[in-house]
Amino acid sequence: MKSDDDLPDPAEASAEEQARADEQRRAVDDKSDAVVALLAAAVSPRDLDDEAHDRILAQALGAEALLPAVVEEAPADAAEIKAADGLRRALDGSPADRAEHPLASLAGALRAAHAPGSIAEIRNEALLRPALRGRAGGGPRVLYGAVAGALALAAGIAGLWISGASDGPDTPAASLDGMVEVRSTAPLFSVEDFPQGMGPDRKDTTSERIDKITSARSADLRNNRYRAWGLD
Amino acid sequence: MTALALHSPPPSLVFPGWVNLVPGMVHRAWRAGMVRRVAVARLETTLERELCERAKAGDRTALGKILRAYGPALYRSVLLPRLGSEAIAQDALAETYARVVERFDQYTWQDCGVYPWLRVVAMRIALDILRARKRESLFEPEDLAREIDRAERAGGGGPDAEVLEARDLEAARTKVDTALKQLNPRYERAIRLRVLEERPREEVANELGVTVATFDVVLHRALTSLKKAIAKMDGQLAARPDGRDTEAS
Repeated sequence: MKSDDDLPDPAEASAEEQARADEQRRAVDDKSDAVVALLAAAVSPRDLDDEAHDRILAQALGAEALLPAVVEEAPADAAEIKAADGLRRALDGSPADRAEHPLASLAGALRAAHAPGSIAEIRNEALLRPALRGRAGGGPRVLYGAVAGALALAAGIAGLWISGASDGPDTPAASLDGMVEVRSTAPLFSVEDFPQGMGPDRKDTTSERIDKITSARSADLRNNRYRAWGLD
Repeated sequence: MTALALHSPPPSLVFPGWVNLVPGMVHRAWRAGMVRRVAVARLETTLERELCERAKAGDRTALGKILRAYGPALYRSVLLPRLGSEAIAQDALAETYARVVERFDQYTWQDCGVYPWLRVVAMRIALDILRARKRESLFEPEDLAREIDRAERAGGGGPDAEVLEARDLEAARTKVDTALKQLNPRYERAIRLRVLEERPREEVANELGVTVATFDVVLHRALTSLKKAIAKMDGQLAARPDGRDTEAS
């Protein structure tokens, strides 16, 4: 074993050795040095804080319920805020929006399993009748028309089903013979129903036009229902 | 699991006059406090058997009456809860009808009625769809495969329509509850209030004591957490040696 006298004089350390010594000192001070950490853990082990213990326990038991305080309070970064906003928009959006978003879709599945709704009688008829008539080609398919707002919804219900002979494999469609189909509203109006401009002597006829469409489509819907029920 | 919801059947499930219900059977299980009250009501046995015989002989009108009586129950308790989407469940119902029409000649009358057979057909359709799809789902194909196996093992000695429907609905709710119980209580609450009860986000945020913007993040975290919990549950289920679950059998 060497005595202290055999060690090199610290005063003669090179600048490079001095720099390494400074670096080592800092590592010892902040306990980032592996050897120092090992020595400290052996000599004076610290307690595990509650949060860390909860995390480890929850990981082992597979239950996040054991994480009482740490789940929500961590600040969200920009990416998470954007993702949360995307989820909100999907949840507030159309069924197609929800189907596109994985978490919104999961929310829908959750709701469907928890409190499944019933199928409308007329919808059930639309699915049943093609089956009872027997399959033709690729089978019964139902094509949902895109509807916008209440008027389009009424029109959609009135003539929702069209023949599915040319539908793709993923497009459901059913056919109800004799039912009124989706069609243009143009035949309901004459040129006078659409005045050009909105000058002081012009009357806004929007409400009247909407009333006319609503009335016509309500009649279509009524007739389709009667036909679906076999009452025509 | 004991009785729960006390709701009237929606108007769309009020059966036409030609369906002769069996009043004593409709709510028997519910009255006994064993199962949830449900909307399905089986046809009177003699009439149902007669309709089945006629349908088997090719009478589409008779088959139509059977399917009008039981189709909505298949949709509500078998297809929609398992497929998780109205559009997909309606596709599945259309396919179920088509397959029943094609294969009803293979059906053999059982004392429990025709509903258990229809249910297996619907579950097979749902199983095919679940296997083919890639979207998020509460049920895994293995869940359905086990249920089909169980139903086929029960054969003609199984329960009738109303018990099966109550059991299917309860199983789906149990699946939801089990998954939610894996979450942090605040996450569970966020999902229950916003997703299951469909309350406005402002109201839920207020109830949870956070801003609306924070609530959006909480809900996102909650659903992400749920997704992981479901994956974990499915993994644990698949890892069981006998592959059986603990749902009502």
